[in-house]
Amino acid sequence: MLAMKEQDLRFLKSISAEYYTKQGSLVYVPPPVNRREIGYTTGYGKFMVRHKSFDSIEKIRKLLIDFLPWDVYHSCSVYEFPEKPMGEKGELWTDLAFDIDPVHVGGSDNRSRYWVCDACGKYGRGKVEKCVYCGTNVTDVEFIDFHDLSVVGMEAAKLMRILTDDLGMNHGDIKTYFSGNKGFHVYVDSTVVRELDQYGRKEIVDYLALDGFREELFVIKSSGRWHILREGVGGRIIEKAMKIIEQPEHYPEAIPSSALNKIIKMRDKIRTELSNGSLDLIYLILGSKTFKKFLKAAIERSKVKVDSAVTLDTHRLFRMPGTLNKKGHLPKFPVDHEMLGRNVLDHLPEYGLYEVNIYIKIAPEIHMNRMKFGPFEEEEEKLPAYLAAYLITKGVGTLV
Amino acid sequence: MEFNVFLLAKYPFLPEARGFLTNYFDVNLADLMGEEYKGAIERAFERVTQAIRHRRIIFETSNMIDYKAEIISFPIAVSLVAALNDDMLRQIFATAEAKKCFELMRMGDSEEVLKVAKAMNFPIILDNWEGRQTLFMNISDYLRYSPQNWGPPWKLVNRRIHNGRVMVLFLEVARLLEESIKDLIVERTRRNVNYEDFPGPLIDRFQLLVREWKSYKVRIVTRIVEERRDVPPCMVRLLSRQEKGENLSHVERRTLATYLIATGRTIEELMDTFKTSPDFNERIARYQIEHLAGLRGRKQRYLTPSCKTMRVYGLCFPDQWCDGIKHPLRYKIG
Repeated sequence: MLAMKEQDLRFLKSISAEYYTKQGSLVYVPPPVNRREIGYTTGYGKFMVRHKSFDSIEKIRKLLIDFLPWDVYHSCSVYEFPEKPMGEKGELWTDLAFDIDPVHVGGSDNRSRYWVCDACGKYGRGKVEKCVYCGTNVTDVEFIDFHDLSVVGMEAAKLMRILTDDLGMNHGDIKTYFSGNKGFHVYVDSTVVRELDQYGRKEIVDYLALDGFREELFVIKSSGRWHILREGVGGRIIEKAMKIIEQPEHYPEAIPSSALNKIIKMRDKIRTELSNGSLDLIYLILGSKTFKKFLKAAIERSKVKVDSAVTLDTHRLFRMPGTLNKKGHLPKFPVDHEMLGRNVLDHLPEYGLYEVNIYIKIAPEIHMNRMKFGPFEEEEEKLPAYLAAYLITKGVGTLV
Repeated sequence: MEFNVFLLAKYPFLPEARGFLTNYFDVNLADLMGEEYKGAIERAFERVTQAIRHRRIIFETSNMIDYKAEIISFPIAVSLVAALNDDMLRQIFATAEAKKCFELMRMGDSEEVLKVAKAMNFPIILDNWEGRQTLFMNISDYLRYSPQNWGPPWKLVNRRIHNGRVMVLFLEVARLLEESIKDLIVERTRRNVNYEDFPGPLIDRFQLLVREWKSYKVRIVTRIVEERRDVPPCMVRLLSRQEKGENLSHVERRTLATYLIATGRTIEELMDTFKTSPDFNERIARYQIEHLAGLRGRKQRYLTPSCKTMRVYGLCFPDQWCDGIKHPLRYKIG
């Protein structure tokens, strides 16, 4: 890990100042602003200031420009007295917030992961316990994996569809953000959600993750015929089953090679039957044992993988939209539904476009603002300031 | 104003019952000793004693015929329970009344369920779904009203949901209404009622009721204490919840049943224990208990779960005497 020099810190602060001056309008707190607890970190993230409240978003934006905090948060809950200690705040209601990142979706651990030795400065790809050269401690460096980002984006899109189509939430009440690190945040500010107690929130999370799902309540055999109820989770399973049928060769755990040709040949008919909730034809083609595997695969893919602790914790502080994330000095910014599944970093808010000279120890290929950078290895480069800030924050870059 | 008196006789807690009473009777406490209210008084005491002795309220055709007594007896019974001011009795009485209502709705038709739901402002929606009239609840309402431990079929993940609405069957609505009715009646029995405001003869009868309740309660509590001397806290907890009329989950019931069988209880004793379940069905309960006891099916007795399994189930709440034991059957105080 490259030690953060004074000039790097000053550079990061100047980028923050430029960002908050240019893009302050992106900073957002769901109303009522004055009833939310606000928190932020100082001392390069070492110190956390909590239990603050502000009368208006303008005052928060002024704080950001005046103090340039490293991370900024707002509570998901609305309180009577947001500045009082926990237990005395008087919770009025809590919005629904979801955090989806590669860890939950099962992203690749090693593709964009590096280690850097704290002692000898050597480095490598992947995750190790100790330096393979000198045996001392290493620092883990995780870059954004752009393949994972699109996979996580698709998961966020899946979540949004369920929130609107199944759970009846309004599109306008749901906001999706790139988190500023590796994943997405989905935030629901709706009167429907305000009525939920802890049990209700758990039921929503279980509905998404299929916790406690009983297959036999949806997949039914009656009068010798197999069918699936099409509402709720049943509809999600049918959708995934259709996807498997579209490209059966990609799902060997669900469709054995021996059944491939028949599936492809009868695809249209299977699709029609599935859309009517009938599983007869697919059962006939696959046989009992493989049918069970096919269902299992469809059910597994119907799950939405979110960090349930985030959604269930009503005392949680959530990263404030429009603010910079210390983990990569990138902003948490709103993302249109259509952008999910693609590289959202091609649409970074505009800041730090001027170039700086930076030494980079190690970094993979990076795609931002429709440009490709790197990979880098022990070299000096002239890069846009926003990217230099990202690399410095990751501990692999320093200004020259 | 017209009243469906037969509906009110069955469900006397409905708001219209108040209107009926106000319109046709000018009842105050002093009037209650009048001859015309003799039937209502009898029925009121009968309601409370049936709840205590049998944990159910018997409702027969004669109760429908004398609908006046049936309707008036309910607020009197509520006053008696309120005056007794005992939480255990409140739960027993409210559960018995609510169970009676559920049975009546179950035997009635869907129209009756709809009428009760509407009268209670219960948030159901009747809408056309694929050519059929179907009942729905908004998700937030469903989550508010569906109790947490009713097992997998009630979990949101296992419900048919569309566009923010959960499909519910008429019988399920009746079951949900039963819970709401129970809560409503418990609330009503919390009002301040001073038995000294009752007319003289009524006070005497009330004192008899108090003696009966106290004697019953002592028997129950003594039995509980004796029986539970060496009963581990996990099972005490399940037993208490069962007695209160809570709807234990399938795993909880099976755990409790296997424990009771292992400690030598008879099938009839188990039937007695489980009949406080809100959804108690004698035929099914007997079948399941006999199966667990090894009297049916593979004729294999099911074992009580170990402490480790109880922890996995989330049913372990150890006390100091649980230290070192690996099975609930090994629990001993001292």
